[in-house]
Amino acid sequence: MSAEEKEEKNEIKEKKVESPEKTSWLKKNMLPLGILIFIGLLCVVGIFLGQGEQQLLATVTHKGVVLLEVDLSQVADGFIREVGTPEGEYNVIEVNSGRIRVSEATCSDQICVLQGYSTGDGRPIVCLPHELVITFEGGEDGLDAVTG
Amino acid sequence: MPLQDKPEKTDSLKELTRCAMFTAVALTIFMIEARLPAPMPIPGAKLGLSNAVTLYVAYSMGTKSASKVLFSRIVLGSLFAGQLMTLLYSATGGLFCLLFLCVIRNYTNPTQIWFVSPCCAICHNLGQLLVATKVMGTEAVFYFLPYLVGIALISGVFVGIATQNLLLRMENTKI
Repeated sequence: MSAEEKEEKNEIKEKKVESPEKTSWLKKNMLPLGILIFIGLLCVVGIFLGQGEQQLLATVTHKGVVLLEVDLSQVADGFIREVGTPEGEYNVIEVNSGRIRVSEATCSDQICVLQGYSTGDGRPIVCLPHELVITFEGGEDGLDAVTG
Repeated sequence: MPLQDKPEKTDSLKELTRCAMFTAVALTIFMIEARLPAPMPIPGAKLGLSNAVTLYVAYSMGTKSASKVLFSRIVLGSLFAGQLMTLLYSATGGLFCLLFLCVIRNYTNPTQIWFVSPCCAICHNLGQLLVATKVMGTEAVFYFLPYLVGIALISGVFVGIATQNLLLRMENTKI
């Protein structure tokens, strides 16, 4: 009898020890958890801030050299431009009316191709291994030219 | 005298062997991860599973050994993957990450790696993007920062929890 009672008491003690540990984990780690959640919220804000207005003046830069500047709003017929190095590495850039993409590339990750079309809503197209980047600048001039 | 020299020598030999072994483990994970298709079309985004090994070494053997393992893995990894451009990005990211780790390791205990890991991943991203702006000559790459940080948070916490479990389980082994 006494042994059973002792066991029961021990069990109760163990439970009592366990439960405050579990609750205090949250209390102990309030600060790091808060920091992570705060950074997460900043990310969401950053993603929304990144969605800028339409900018249709596309600039293709390869290894720091500007290769092509095109106003996407004034492209009537689509065209294709190959950007390559003497080593045989290349990216094929496809320009259409209002949109631009990398349609083919020899890079290992193919991330530039997977990024698909960019319509100039603030999202650049980047190929890290080939140091190729397509950026956008204010297309106001282009819009004015079309309307005026 | 020679007897006193011996333990030191075996210690450094043991450290070297452990570093080599952990580099091999990290490199294997890194190569398998490189073979996986990109989870999202965001340049520079990665799961970073091999950083679990770096973190484990940092907490079990110190940041000095961790830096050895990390930089051997980065150099060998980019050589094996055949992309020398990525060496610059990962080396700078790794450097940022290690500097942060050296500081934060003194203020945290091994049960808080779940927090340290995503923070290190964010430092890695910042370093990477700084190099990218230098190389590309445009700040436009910072557009991807919130996406990269978001991925770093999720995968970082996961890697951190994995490291904590690894530390718990490795306590009983003699490796």
